[in-house]
Amino acid sequence: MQARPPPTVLRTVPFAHYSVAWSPFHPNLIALASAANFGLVGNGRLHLASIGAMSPEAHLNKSYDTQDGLYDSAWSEIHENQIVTASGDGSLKLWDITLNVSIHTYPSPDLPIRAWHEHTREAFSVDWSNIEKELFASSSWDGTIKIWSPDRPSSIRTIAAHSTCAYQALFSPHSPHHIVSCSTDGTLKIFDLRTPTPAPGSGPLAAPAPAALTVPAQGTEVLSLDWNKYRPFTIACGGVDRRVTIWDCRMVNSAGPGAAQVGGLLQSEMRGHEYAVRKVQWSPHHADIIASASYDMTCRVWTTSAAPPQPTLRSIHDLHTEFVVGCAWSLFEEGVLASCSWDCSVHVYRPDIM
Amino acid sequence: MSTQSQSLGSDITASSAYEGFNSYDFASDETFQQGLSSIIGPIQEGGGSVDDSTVGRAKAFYFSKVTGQDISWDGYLAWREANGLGTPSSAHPTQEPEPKTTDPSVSTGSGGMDDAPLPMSFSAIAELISTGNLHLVPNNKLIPDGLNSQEPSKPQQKVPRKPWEAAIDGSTA
Repeated sequence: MQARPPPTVLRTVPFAHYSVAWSPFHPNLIALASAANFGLVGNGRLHLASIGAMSPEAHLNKSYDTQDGLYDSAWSEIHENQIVTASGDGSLKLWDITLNVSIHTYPSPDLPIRAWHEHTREAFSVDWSNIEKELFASSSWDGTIKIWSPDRPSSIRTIAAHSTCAYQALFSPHSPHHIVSCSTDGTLKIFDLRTPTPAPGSGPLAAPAPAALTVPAQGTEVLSLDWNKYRPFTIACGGVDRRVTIWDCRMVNSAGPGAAQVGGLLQSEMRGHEYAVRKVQWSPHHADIIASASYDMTCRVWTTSAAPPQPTLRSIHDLHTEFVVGCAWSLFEEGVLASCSWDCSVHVYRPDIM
Repeated sequence: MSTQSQSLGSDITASSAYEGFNSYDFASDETFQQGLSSIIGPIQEGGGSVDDSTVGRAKAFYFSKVTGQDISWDGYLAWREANGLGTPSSAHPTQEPEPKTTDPSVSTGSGGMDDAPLPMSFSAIAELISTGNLHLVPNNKLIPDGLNSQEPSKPQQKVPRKPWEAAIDGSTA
């Protein structure tokens, strides 16, 4: 087997990572959401770094400290210098990365330019809409999805999506009306934003929002999902049962607004991870390539095609020494992948796929 | 002329005072350490955290009193900045050293983790939490609530099309 070049590595000891995100504006800029003490207790830190697969150098540009651990971040699609973070205390914060720590304000830390605190438990994911670029969404262990605009002081909408943790929520890259979430309850749920939200109920007993499509995807917790960028309403997910499964959910689109279906067609599945799959992400450049990160300390790349041959494992990155919790494909450099880990390091490399 | 030399003289005096302050060994000064613990002890017992500024101001106050040279912590920070010295290293007592990313070991098969300082283990932290010793957990400082008072930047760029948007445009063109 031909030796691959080593990854470009950036370490952020003692902050363990929870997610990595590439800037949609700047080719080599990444954001790392992280937490001290494995997110159990203590501060969070948002790291901004310049890093690329072709350069041995990685440079930590800047970091922002938060009271509680950071679990996710999403770059603004309308402002090249802004990014929103999700925190363990349920708060969301919007940062302007041009604002610097000054000797004159030291030791006051740099503060966010906006902050929201509506989630009653850990805010675990954030996603900026690529279609309605003034909107972003958050999901929380309180079971809700919330839709936000950076200019508004409170959320635009709350969807009581699950009765347990909503680990991730993502806007469809093809339809402005659809958002999908995954949960402890083993389901994927696609919500149609044209369906009115039920009147606010009383506290935690509020009736769940009707999902346009509920996919009983896995028998245990579903930790991560992603929309295929080239096949509308094809969704991959991964979780505690160690599989990555791919679901054809096009039926949600044919049924029209107001329908509440249960189903989804299992297209294929990928087995091989030895522990839970913590993150899945489709390639932005290819319909048939997906990466998965796992608590088994590996990040894997698979080719998927609906027709036989079934999904094939193409690459295993096994240089992390702790849980691999995030992975993200570069939007600018085709085939370049970043993976981040509880080992406090992010690796950027070009997996050997073809 | 006399005005100029006067102001120059006062700069030199202040500068030498800050040089003295900069090299003063507070760690071995028992009088200072006792005074410092009487200041920060109650804060920590009250559940608060002591920031670098509190310690710095205490040092400046003590130094002025002992030497008769009137200096301030803010003045010291400005003096460091003016002399290209950056943030005082002693002002980061809890911060781990940042790893050098240019270290050749980053290219090794171990992912460059050979020489990384080891954070406290998961089980050690869980033990501290379960035994109620939260104050011993590292990297748990108090970050103020509030928003940045500086003016945010103005957006100047339009976001590039995503690869799949460009591909779809290309195929339908």
